[in-house]
Amino acid sequence: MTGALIALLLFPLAGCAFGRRPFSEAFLLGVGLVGAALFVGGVIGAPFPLTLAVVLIAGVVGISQSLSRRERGAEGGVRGHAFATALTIAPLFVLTFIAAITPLTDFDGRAFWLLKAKALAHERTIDGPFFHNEVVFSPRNQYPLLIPLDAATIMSLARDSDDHQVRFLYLGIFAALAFHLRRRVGAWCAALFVWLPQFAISDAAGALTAYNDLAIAAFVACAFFELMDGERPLLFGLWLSFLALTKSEGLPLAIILAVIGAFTSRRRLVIALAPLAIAVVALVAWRSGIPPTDEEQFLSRLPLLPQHLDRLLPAIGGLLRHAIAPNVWGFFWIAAIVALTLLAVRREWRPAAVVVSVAAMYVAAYAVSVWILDDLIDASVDRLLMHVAAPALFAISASVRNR
Amino acid sequence: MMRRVLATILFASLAWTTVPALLHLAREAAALRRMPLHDRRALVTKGFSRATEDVIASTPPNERLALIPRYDHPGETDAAVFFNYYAYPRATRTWFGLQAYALDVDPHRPATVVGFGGGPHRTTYEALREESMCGPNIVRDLQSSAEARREMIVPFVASGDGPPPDLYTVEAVFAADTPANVDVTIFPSGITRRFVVNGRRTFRDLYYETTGTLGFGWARIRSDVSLRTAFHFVNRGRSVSTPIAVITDPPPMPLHFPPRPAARLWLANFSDQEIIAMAGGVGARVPAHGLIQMGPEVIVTAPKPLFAFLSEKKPDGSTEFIWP
Repeated sequence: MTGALIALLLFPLAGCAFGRRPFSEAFLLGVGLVGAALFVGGVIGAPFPLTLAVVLIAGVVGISQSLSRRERGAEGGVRGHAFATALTIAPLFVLTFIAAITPLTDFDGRAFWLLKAKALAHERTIDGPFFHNEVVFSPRNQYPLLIPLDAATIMSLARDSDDHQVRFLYLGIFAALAFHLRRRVGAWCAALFVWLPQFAISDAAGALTAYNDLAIAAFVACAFFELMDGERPLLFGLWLSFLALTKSEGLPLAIILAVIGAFTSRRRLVIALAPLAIAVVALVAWRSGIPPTDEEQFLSRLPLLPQHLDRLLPAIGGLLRHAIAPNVWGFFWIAAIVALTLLAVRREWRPAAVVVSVAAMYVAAYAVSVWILDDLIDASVDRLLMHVAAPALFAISASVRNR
Repeated sequence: MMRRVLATILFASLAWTTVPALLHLAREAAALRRMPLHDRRALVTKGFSRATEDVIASTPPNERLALIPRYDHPGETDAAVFFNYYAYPRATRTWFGLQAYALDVDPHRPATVVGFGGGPHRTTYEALREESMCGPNIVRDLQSSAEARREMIVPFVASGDGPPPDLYTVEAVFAADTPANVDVTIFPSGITRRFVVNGRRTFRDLYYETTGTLGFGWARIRSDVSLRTAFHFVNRGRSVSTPIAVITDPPPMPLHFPPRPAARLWLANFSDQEIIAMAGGVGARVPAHGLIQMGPEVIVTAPKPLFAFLSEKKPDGSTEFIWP
């Protein structure tokens, strides 16, 4: 429970560094800010405690300034919908009970992400002996470290690197994303979201695992809503930078969102690109100093795409096959495809642009991969579809609302 | 109304999968709730976390461990990664495959080996090598000799690794008409192991099965009943084999061999006293019960009985023996 308490206090507080905001958004922003600050600070050699102290002080200053201006930061915006609220909360309670008792057993969480978190908590540096394979073999050594740094912070503050301390980081991201969707899209959409099998119960990237796809889905959701609003370019840029520092595919996702954002507001995009640029420079600098291990180099294989065009159609077919698989997604993606099309016809093309561009990027990656195509799709596509679930939910909501 | 119907159908399509799975997971959690965390973890990892803890507890805290997952054994590579997860911050080094470990000449290579067949466990390189030798013997249909003896000498037995894919063992067969107690003594170490033969017994790696180590030497075999035998020097990595002669007494001196420039000369001393032999005019000290190798000399002389033979590696990975 110590880890749960730390997560519930630390991240919302850090998330108020740019002013008081709803708890769910503050939680997600805090998750991004703590991890990103520790990473960028780590690249320039700043000790973890110092960086964490700066972020937390900024959070306290943000809250106090907001209080002095009498700003409101409550969840607000959604009233009523008692049944939808009950439907949203019920699975979260059950998941909390399960996460509190059943130990972690997922693959990527243990093999990659939390092994890194343990090393970060132990070595307190992002380029220590662990990342030079001097302690153990570090698989996927160059994966970005934002979420492992969050987990390491909880472990360090709890003085316990056991994974039960960080279960509520991941469940917290899921719950915060649900309530963020409730505020931004609607109560019924949030209720639908928490029941999505891939998010709620999947042992590959669900809320009970330590995969990072849930965090990517949350950051894409937050960036997407900022993109649609077009009012807070710095915040938009922060979400993009968090994407780049969370997973390898986060950077192309951030670029796609930035390009679509450029059509909305080119002048403001310059502000948004500043945090992303800092994140990318830090990521490149860090990667240049540590050895790669077993990562697949998709980027260097991308020029081979013309030679692998025969794999494009099977890749698209595999993606669609999984999207309409009822045991993983129910009828969600069928509804989403219809809704995205309807919105595009009504000249609201941005949700469709995000989903189609991201899907196209993943299809291209599948085409150039050295993996057996079907194996790779079966192992990953449901996780990748999670990344664009929020724009899809937005489309479902908007298509039935905007008559 | 239409919107509500569509929303209900959509929700039902999600709950159809999620509700039973959530209930199942909740029931599992309820069953675990009174157990300590370590027991819960051992249960959900099917004993893996506990086996990892046992390995860690049975080794000194500062000792680096050699993890050897065999890439041709499904699941072992992942198991090594999870071992690191549960054992961290314990320092380990991973070799993917036995030969990667065998060929590593790093003087700081850890000696304590963790294998992953059937879960993480402390083992030795030799035991892991033996464990990895699955499948039938290379010499199909091992036939024992027609002649039966109670005592014999096998002038060369070995178990060892060469450059990949070479992997050497001695395959053997013991056959007796009545139950036999057979003592196999490997020299120069003198390690002896008794094998009980009920009718027929085959060996995949006689040297290792007797000594528990890798190496080479010669073997004395004694049985309480007459035994029919056969011995083959096998390169498992290339699926080739060569018969090994069985002798009772060293032949008289001097020994003459045909000129074979690429061959090695082996001198075996079956006695318990050191022998100074002359091979091609060069003096050679052969310790008691020793087996030494020299260049390809053609004439061997010694004041006492001594056994010698030539061996030559062939391009197909097999070894040709030239007996006196």
